[in-house]
Amino acid sequence: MPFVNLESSDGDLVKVDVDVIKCSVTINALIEHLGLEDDNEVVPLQNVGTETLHKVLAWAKHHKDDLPSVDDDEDDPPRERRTDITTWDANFIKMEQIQLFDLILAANYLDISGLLDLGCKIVADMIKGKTADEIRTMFNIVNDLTPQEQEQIRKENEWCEEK
Amino acid sequence: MGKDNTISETMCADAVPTSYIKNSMNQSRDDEELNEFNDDNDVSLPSASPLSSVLAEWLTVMDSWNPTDRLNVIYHIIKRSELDELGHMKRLIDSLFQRDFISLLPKELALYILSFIGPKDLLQGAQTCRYWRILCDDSLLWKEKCREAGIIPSNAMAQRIHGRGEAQNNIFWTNQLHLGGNGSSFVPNYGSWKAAYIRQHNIEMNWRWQPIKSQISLRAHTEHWITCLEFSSNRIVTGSDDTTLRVWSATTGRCLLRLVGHTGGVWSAQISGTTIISGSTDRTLRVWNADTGACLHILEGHTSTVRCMHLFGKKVVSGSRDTTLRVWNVDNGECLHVLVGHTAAVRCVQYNGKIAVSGAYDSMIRVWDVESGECLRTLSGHADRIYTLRFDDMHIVSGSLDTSIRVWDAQTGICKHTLMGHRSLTSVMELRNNLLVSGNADSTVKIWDITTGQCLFTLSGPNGHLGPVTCVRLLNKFVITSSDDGTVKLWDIATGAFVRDLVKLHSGESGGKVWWITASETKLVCAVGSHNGTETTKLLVLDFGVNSPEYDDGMRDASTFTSNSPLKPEHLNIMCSLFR
Repeated sequence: MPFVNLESSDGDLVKVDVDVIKCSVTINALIEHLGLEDDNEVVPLQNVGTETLHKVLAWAKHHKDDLPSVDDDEDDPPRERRTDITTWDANFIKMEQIQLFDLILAANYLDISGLLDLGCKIVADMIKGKTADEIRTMFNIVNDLTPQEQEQIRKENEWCEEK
Repeated sequence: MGKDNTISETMCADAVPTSYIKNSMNQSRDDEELNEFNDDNDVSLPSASPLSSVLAEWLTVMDSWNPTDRLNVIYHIIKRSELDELGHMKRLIDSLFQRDFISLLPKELALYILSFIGPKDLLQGAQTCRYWRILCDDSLLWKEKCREAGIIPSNAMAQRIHGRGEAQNNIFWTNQLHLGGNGSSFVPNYGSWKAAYIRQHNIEMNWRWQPIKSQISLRAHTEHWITCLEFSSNRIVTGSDDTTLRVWSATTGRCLLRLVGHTGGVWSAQISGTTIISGSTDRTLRVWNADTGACLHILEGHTSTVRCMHLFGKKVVSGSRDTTLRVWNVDNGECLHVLVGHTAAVRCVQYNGKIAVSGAYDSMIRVWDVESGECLRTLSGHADRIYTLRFDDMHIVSGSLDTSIRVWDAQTGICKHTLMGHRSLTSVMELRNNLLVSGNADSTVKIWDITTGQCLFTLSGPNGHLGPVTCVRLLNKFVITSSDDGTVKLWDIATGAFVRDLVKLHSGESGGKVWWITASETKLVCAVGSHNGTETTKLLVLDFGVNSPEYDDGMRDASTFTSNSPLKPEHLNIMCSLFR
């Protein structure tokens, strides 16, 4: 089984089964481009830290036998957004916001759509069902809107509620 | 391997510690304005007040300790801290672990995250801070929400959207990002799609919940029946067995015109633009100008009552008890074709500009080429009179006195499904996107999937109608039904659940009936009366619109009595005087 050495931005080398990391379009392209001939070839990832890289690999390993996602057919009805998350993924993604943030960036950089979707859905879940105040607290956002602007936005967003 | 080395070198040269990844990625983006937000929000502790030299020295000492000692000291600091001090610490520490994903991630990722959240959450998100507001108001996000909700912009809205919408979306975006640092140039970003969505939602909520305090009622054709009811933009047309038609303003409730001329009862009518056509027991059709009330043409030729018609463009196809259909030119009143084939009275006709489909009391359905006047196909299978028809490119659907509904292939004429379940005459149907709603004299309404022939819902039960169903209408998310029991009911099309009674006549148990209903997105018009004098013949107009000067759909005056909240007393007074 061919292996590849990934070098994190922290300078650490991690040896990975090519089959595991094939979910990354970026790494696939790099491997193809570099034409890896022996197991000592190093792929540098200047945008992924060691801790994040290990997380990415853990996810990739678990999902390595997943079927590739099928592209939407043109004549399919409007695609339904899949928002279900498996138990394994839900446990995997339990981490500090700061780590999740780096993971999303890494998934984006490495072009791993499954992991990117997971990360983005989790952040979306964090937003769902919260008031503006609660969202600010959740993500430590400073409210830079003036009271006038707030009032204006509130009016624009006026929404009849079910009674 | 030269090529390979180049790549490695380039990548290594760019290598930076993890903590800077975010910034390096941000700066690689095109829109530099965004960095203004991101830099301010970089993760760090809020600045504290300056330290005295003694404290500064104390901290320097702490820096020199080994990790174990540092942890030990932290433990003791926590232990001797007051609760409010601990709270302060907790907030500081928490903030170190937090990330404002939406502001700090590249824009396309932030928008991708937001694409997973619903409209209601987007509205909350828009109220957190300026940058969130820009992203949460993104036009493409809302376009997607509109698509998911099946919202098609109305004409007025479409103009706005096409004026500065999709094609120009990127420009729109860029403009919004020139916010400046002082806040005064903060341009409201109110995408058309978002406005369309909110408007639609509010209208839907009005249909569901807005208290129906007062029904605006217009007395009409007193002592007679209303036999047909048509509604186009802001005009309501009623036809009666008293031989006249009336044109009403849907916004002010005024009777604008009385169309007098027929010598027999009017049994069918249609309005399109400024043209009104009526059919009567006097064997003629009349073409009227809806603005002036002038009778432009009298279409003579049928030898018995004109029972049904369908106007499309400049042509109208009429069906008569004389067993024929006729095709007329509305502009000059000329009869273009006589469609002969049925052997009994023609009861219903649908015309799409190319072909016409007719249903008759001979149990047959005929498909006609209106251009040539030729009968293309005869669909036989029903065992009794046909009362109602609907067709689209794929299917022809027919409702009959034999209690069944048949679905025919529009191209081949083959009967694909026979929909069984109703116990009496199906006299009214609506068809939209393979969804068929049928109203039956057995007092139930059924919703069918005509591709499978399956009955999805039966609208009945404790809240169901108690008498024959007289009319069904389809709105975006609702089915509206009326009945001889004096009620108009609103149902959820997706679940088949009863929502509420929109109209409930006091006379409902003693003979008051709702004969016809017609509805626009925001208005419901009902023709009510009775055959025994318990209910005066009249029109009821109910409005579920929202105050939205930007998007009124040609009904500017409607704001007079359009309201989110229950109608105010002063409005009621105005209306009462108008409709007296």
